[in-house]
Amino acid sequence: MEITFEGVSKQYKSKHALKNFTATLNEGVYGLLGENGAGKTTLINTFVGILRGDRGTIRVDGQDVRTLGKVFLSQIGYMPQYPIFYRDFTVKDFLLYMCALKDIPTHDAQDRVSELLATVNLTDAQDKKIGALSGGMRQRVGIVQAMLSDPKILILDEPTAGLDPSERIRFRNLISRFAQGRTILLATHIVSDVECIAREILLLKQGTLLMQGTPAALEQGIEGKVWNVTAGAEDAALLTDMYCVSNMKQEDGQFTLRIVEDGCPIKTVQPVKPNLEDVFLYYCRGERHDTSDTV
Amino acid sequence: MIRLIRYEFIKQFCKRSILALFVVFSLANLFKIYGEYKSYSYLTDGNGERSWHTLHWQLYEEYQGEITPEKIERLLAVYQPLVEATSDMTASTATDDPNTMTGNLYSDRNLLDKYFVQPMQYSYEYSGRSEQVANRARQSAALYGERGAVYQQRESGAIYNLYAGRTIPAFSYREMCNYYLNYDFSIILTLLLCLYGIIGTFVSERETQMDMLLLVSPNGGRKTALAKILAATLFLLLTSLWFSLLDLIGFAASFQTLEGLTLPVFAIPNFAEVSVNLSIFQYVLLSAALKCAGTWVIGMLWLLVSMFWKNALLPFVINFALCIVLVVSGAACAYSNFFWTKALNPYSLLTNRVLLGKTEFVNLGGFPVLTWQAAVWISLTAGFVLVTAIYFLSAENCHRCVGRAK
Repeated sequence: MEITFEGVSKQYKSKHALKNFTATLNEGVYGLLGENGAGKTTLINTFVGILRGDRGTIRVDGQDVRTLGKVFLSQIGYMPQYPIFYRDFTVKDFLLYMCALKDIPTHDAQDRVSELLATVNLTDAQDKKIGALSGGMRQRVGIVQAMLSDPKILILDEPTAGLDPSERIRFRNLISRFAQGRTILLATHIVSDVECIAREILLLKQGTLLMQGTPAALEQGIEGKVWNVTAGAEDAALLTDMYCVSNMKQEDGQFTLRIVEDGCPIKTVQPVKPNLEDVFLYYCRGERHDTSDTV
Repeated sequence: MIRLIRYEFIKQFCKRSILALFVVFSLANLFKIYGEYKSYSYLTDGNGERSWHTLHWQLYEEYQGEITPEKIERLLAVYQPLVEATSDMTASTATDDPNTMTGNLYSDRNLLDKYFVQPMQYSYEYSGRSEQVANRARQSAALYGERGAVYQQRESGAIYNLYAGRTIPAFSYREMCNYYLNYDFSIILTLLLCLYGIIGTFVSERETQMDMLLLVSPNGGRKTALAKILAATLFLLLTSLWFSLLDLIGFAASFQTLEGLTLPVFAIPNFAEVSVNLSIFQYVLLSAALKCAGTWVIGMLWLLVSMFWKNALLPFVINFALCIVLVVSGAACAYSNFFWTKALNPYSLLTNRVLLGKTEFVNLGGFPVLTWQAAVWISLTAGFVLVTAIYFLSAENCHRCVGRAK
């Protein structure tokens, strides 16, 4: 399955939420990375048809999604940002209701719900009311409802927002598990969510696609631009003001700073291997790297 | 579709708060009905040997059924001496007179007067009065015909058809039916409960952010909107029917009888000029149907208004205000000659005796149409327009709300 975005744009009054977004996605996990307000949700909402784009086309296997209608909807699983669902419904009832919405026949619905609840380890909670679930459990219900129709395309909007580390890891593993044979578009501003599982990263800033590439390629793109500097308290404060610092660690009165910068900040230091967080910081910190590019 | 309607119904209306309100309002209604009985009926003085209650039902056994000259003579033979004895107000006021039924002459006279003489006299004379109305209508129709006043001729003809041959052949206990047909409290409860139930139908999807999921589900767009409309319709009809039924059960239980339901509805003095020739029971069914229609239209109006908001509070206030406007304007025009105002206000269908209780016509293209019939057609048309608007605006509105939220 190939998803093609061609010049997709969306504007709210004078603000460009999405500017000429062009990208191609195939099978695998795609991390849509960007700061809050970068246009991730707008892109997703435009893709799934909640919003109407001002310009551009979105194609799935060459067919415009707007002409596909219900056929397209039956191919996608969508998990919105901060889902609340119906507090008075039990998990099972809610999922059976979602099956009705997705036109899944009643006799298949029971089996599908049981199977997916077992996959996400929620079988014991199936008779609990949704209002009584923890945030992590609710997110898992969210992904189950998205997976009910066994969609070819899975769209997850900030799925790990508000989760504790163990739930976040559990959720990440679930996404990897579901990635086989389908395209997953995962929007997040948390780099670690996509660092290990994404086939490619799409870096969004102010509605514009800055970069698209594999995590390794993106990291390679800023090779020689990340530095580890050890300094005293005063110098550390000075360096923090002057440079983009991706990490700062204090040990025995000394500070170790991880600086993302084009040039060497101090002559004596050597560059270190960049990670995806550095890439994110490098491209999203200021205005000077605002060029659409593909690595 | 049935699955969707079922889930919508469960989702919106099988909530603890609504069920609790249902129970509380039902109990309040039953208490109110019992209060009506205790306040207005004279037969609440227990089951003592000389109580009105006991004596009434004993006498009723004797006089109920077909009104015959023998029965009238028998009744007058008891009643006339009592009238004579009490006419100059000098009779004994003792309450333990062994020569009386109730222990008091005045009380005896009043019991017979209120529960037997007056109703029987009204029933006996009604056919003559309605015949007079029919004859005058026929004469008027002829006169208007001569003068070429076609509408007036048709109206008089309709009055003639309605009133000709009206009779009340039997005497029956009618107090329960009288109070039941004039009872309105449950309408307010129905409206409040329906408003509370309806208001979340669309709004709750936004509050839970389920509107996004609905929009990306194959059956989540207009199909779900239709399921919501049908589930809301079901809720409105069930609530309205329940309170109509509860009213009847409450009155029957309080008055401990269902007597009178087979009488023609014009046997109740307030309904002497009623615009339908039905038995009271048939009238009760018609009234319940009209209440359902009125509740449905008002409910659809609320639904449409609530669609445009992101939380329930403001549309609740707006819809409550709308409801007050309908109730107040309905009450203000209830007994006026503004027939069109009555026909246009769906609240009239709820307090439908203002439409059915009088023979009033509105001019529809030169044809006289009874106000209740016009009200039904107008309300149903308005209801279907509202449903169409909700159906087509629901998905569009969702897109707009998502856009506005950004």
